[in-house]
Amino acid sequence: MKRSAIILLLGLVAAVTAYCALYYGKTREQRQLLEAPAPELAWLKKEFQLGDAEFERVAKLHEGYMPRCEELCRQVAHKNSELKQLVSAANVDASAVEEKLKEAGDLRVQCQKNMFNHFLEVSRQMPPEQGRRYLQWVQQQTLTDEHEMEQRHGSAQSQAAEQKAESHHH
Amino acid sequence: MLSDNIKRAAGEAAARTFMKNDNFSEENDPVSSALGEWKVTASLPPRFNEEVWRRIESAEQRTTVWDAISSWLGGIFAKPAMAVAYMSVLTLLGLALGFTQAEKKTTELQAQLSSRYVQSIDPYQRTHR
Repeated sequence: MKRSAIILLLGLVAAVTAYCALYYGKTREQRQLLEAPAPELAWLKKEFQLGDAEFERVAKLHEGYMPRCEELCRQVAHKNSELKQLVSAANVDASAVEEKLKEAGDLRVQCQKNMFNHFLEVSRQMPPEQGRRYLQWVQQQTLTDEHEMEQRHGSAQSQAAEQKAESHHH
Repeated sequence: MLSDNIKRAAGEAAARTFMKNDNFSEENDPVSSALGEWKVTASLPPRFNEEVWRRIESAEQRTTVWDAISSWLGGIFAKPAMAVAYMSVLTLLGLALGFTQAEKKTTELQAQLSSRYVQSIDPYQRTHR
């Protein structure tokens, strides 16, 4: 009986050891990336197979981009609060609202231009094949929301047009 | 009182046996006479017999299942090939589970890291918006 119990126990120990060895061995790289000082950049380096020199240039670009981006974000937020004040006033000045909307829109365009310039600059620091892959991936990630919005908006418009056409028929 | 008598009688009997007293006879044995005098007056609890049998049965059943398992395992692991097979199967099971779980976790961490990068560069996807 003692022998059977030892074999049973050894089997369980072997199973647990095998599980832990494979699990922690296979996820080690990702866990190390998460513990890095800048996990997102460490991930970029690994994902797009950047050399140390390439990574250094990309990291520098990233550092330079962040303050510009944050400043534009701050300006957009400021414009939005101005717009809110205008809209919540007792007598809404339509032309002032229109002007503010235009200004906020211009800032957003500037923000997006800044972002796409950054993507291009980063992609240029990468090996050509990886650069193309990066551009494709990053545009897919950043354009998805607007694309979805466009689709939703488009479908809402087409639904409204269909309803209008139906009411005309009746 | 009765138990004192029994103890005393038993002590005397033992002493006599030790001294190899051949004149000792059963009729004169004070232990036997004391036991003969002993009467149980306390009444048994209700359903005493039934309860005793139930306990005996359950104890036998427990022993039987445990005995069956241990003898079955003993029989299986008596063959070294079976013991090796058991160890191998459990090790492979651990490896397979570890692999699938690690794959799942790796995908999850990859997604987490890539979305962190996107959030860091895209103001429209920042959490502090």
